[in-house]
Amino acid sequence: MKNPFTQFRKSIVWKSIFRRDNKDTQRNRARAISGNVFLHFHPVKIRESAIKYKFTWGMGGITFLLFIILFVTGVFLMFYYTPSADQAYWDVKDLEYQVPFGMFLRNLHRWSAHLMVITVMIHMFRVFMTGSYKPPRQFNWVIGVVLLLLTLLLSFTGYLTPWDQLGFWAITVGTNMAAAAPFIGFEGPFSEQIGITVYNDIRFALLGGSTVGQSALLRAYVWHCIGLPLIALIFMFYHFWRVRKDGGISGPNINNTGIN
Amino acid sequence: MIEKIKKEPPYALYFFLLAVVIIALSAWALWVETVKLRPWKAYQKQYIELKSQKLKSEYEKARYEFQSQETQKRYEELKMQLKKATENFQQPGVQEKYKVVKRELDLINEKIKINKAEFQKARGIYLELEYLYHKHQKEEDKVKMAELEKEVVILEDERKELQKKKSVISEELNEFTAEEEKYTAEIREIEKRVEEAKEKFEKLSEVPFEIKQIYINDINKADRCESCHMGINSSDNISELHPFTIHPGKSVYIENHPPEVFGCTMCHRGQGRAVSSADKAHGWVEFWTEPMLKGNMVQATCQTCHGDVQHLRGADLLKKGSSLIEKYGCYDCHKIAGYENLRKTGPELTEIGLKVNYTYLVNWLLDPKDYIETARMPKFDFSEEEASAIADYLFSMTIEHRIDYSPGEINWNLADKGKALWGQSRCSICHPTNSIGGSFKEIYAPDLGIAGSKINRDWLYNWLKDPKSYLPQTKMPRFRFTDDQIWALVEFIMSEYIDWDFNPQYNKPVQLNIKSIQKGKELIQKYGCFGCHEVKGLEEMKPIGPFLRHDEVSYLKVGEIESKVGAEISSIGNQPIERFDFGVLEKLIPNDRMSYLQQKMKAPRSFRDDLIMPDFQFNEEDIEALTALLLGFTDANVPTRFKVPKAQSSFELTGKFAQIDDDVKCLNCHMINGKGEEFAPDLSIEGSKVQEQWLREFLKQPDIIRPMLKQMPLFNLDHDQTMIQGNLSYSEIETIIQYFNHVLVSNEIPENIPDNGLSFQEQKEAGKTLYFDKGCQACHQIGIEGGAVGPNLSNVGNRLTEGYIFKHLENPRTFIPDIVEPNYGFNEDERISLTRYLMSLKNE
Repeated sequence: MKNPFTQFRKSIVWKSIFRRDNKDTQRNRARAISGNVFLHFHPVKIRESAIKYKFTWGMGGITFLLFIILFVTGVFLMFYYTPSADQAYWDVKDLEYQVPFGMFLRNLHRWSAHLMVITVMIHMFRVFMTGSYKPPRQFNWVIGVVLLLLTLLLSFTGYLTPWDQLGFWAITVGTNMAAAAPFIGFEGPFSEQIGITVYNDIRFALLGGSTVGQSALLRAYVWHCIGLPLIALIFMFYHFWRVRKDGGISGPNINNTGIN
Repeated sequence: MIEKIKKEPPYALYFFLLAVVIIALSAWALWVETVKLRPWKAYQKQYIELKSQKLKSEYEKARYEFQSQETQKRYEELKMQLKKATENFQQPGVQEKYKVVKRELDLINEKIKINKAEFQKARGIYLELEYLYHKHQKEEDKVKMAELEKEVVILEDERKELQKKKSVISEELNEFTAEEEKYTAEIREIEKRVEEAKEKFEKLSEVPFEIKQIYINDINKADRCESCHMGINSSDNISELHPFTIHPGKSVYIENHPPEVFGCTMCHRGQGRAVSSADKAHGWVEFWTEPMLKGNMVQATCQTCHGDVQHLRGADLLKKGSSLIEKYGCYDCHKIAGYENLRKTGPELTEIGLKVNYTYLVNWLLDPKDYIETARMPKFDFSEEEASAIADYLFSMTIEHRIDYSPGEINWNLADKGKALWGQSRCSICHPTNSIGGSFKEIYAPDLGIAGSKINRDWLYNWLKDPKSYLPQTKMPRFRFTDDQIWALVEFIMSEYIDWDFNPQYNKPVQLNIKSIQKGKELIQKYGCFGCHEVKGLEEMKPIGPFLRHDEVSYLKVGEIESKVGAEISSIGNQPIERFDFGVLEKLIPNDRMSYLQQKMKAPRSFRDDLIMPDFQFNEEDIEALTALLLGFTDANVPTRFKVPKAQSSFELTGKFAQIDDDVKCLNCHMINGKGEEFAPDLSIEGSKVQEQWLREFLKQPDIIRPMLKQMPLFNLDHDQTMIQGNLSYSEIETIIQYFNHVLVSNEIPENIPDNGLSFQEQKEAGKTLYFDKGCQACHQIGIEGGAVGPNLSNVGNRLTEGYIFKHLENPRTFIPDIVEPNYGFNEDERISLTRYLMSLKNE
């Protein structure tokens, strides 16, 4: 009797999913990477110097890993959390005291968030120090800056969600700073001239009102859980794609062409 | 061409080590999750063990009792009897008879059924006819209706007859099986005891391990305290140990505040949702603003809902604390919601130079309590120089300070008359002398023990003549003494109550220089004397103490409560601990709210050098009571359904009676519709309560109703020939009676009591029997017999109205909520009899 698994591999079902055989050829190796949706971001070939740990510090990858952890723990937290001023704080307390592994989940989310801000900074530092922002990678540097901003905004919106004193006042201070921006903040310069008041400025847009309340919590929540992660994901994949397209991870200038 | 693939180093060791680490971490996380963060599991296990031990012993006891010779003998006996009864019943003769009776009963039941059906039918036809008659107005329908009515009456009679028969036969039938049933029931009774104990014990193993939670929907409160405190709300105590013991004082606390409705933390504070450790659950962690209150301190939170703490059972500390606040006038310097618009505690100092002598004032300022033990004024720790500076300022404000302060010669004859008057006027009800007397503590009257060395003779005369001319809002009644009487009293006070250590070195200020006066003013400003006293030149100053309670209990809508995060908290009871300044004591005393408050009251200035709060020299009990009260001063957010606001009395005395009250201060002792004090009986329904003639006599010459407690001052002093003029004139007495009869009446009190058909004598005799059966004489006195807890009833027939007695006996708490008298639950007949008996008690 033949091995049923071998039979199965010859079936049309298997072949419709995996369109190649597994002979160890260089072509098959390349196809294994490029034919996989998750792996095709990896270059088919890579320079040895580019994967040296002491050169990249792995910070971009770690940041992405933290993002995935945050994504997963965040989804679990959403099962227990209600973005309502009456309930939010108590839900967080219950996560801490009642939900199985709730404290673990929450702490994982919180520490990963803190860590992600730090790793993004270190990543930027590395990119700056290795001169990887230089042409032809200058546009990807800009994408990176946008991603830094998105990380900070995610951190900021997430800060309000426990609805405790710390978050409440942090958002109060933060949005008051926005209110002092020129043109768009009601306390900023030129706002009077263009008719910006406390009820139509940037702070109002952020808070959904003129004080931190229920609508501010809901806005923070929606941005934190849907809006910002979605935008960040789009930028992230564009960022990764550009790494490939701009010539892979940077390395020492080999042939003085300007392209590393 | 295939490139040479670089050989990778072996990772196996790293993988292995990391796998070990991750397995260890997972095991640790699992342990934390299931054991460490769930300490209640251990408590529940322990509780169930304790309970099962108890139930097991109960079961064994029941079984032992069941197996005891006595019970077994009885049990066997009953079984035998049951068997015999069954046999008796089964005998052919009996059985036949039984069947006959049963058939009879069945027959009657059948007849009743038919009767009912006919009745229904007749009724149906009747309704139809009625409808037709209304529609067509045919006379024949009406005739038919009348016929039917007759028929219905006959049917009803028939049915009544049948039912009577049925009950007779049923009884007859029951007799057959009665014995059997009786024995079965008794056997069951014996068996049940064991079975119930067994069931209780066995069911215990089915009790699940789980979080026990009380959830109060509208305020989103979840209290999980019972997860560890398993037995707190049960009826029998399985252990004295915490957390398994039952709640103390259940009748006051639990029964009036069922946990299902109120939860736990509303009273106890703490973090009701936390169950991961005792400290967390009790809120004894950083940043939890409402840690659990220990011991008696839990009374603090009564104020969250109860507006009136003076009449709250189980909140003695608050009652005491609240009295202390009023006595010492904390609200004069600190703003305290609920204590607003009260008169200043200290006397006006505008004319102090006329009233007291200079030496006294300086001594007083140095240490009031040392000088007069019952002094309310706190010790400010003034130096002698500072005290004289303040005295200089106060004397300089008195225009006429060149007066004679010398005691002068004593007229002993006059002083003796004054002594008699002092006694008759019951001065010592309010005024203590050297800490003796002054039984009416709620009204603070100065200790007169050294008044002779303090007060200027002429001022005292003027004061007694008309207290209001010196101090308009005084509580001192104007005793309408004659001039002779006043001088006699002055002579008595000046000669009797002298400070023998008093050194009248200088009775007037030696020198009043501008510098000293200026310094005195500055000191008064710094220490805020104007808070308690009216001080000339500083009338506009604001009190200097910080807020203690921002808002009185505010009752918010459900949605508003939780969203109040970030609101300014300024009441001392839930102010974050970071806002308390522990100063130099930060490392010496525990940094919690209670320690701060206690230290502040013990030694107000110990935190830092520049503090100004004076020392009230509170004792330990005072401090405990005040701490409990202050801890309860919170910006409380409770829904309306919990509130028990203080009854606000809008009652005002009117007319001539108001003038009399203004003069003799009835409300100093009596309460009328929520105004006044509770020292003497409440007069709110006096018009319905007492008989007019008795009231008239009483006002002329108050007699003694409650000998052990207190007496009303003798207002009419006409038995002493030397002191002729009375206080209340005939017309004033009539005014009072008129006012009582028209205003202070209650609709609930009937004028006459109902008649129960018995003769007056029979009622009276029945009442007398009842009086002694129920043991009324244990508290009440009639003639020379009986106790002295309740009022003397010897003359009650002349004093009270029969309607009042009748109504009062129905439920004594109707009119006097905190009366000692129990409610015996008399029925109407008993009340009529007792009333008749009591109304017959008259002094001849």
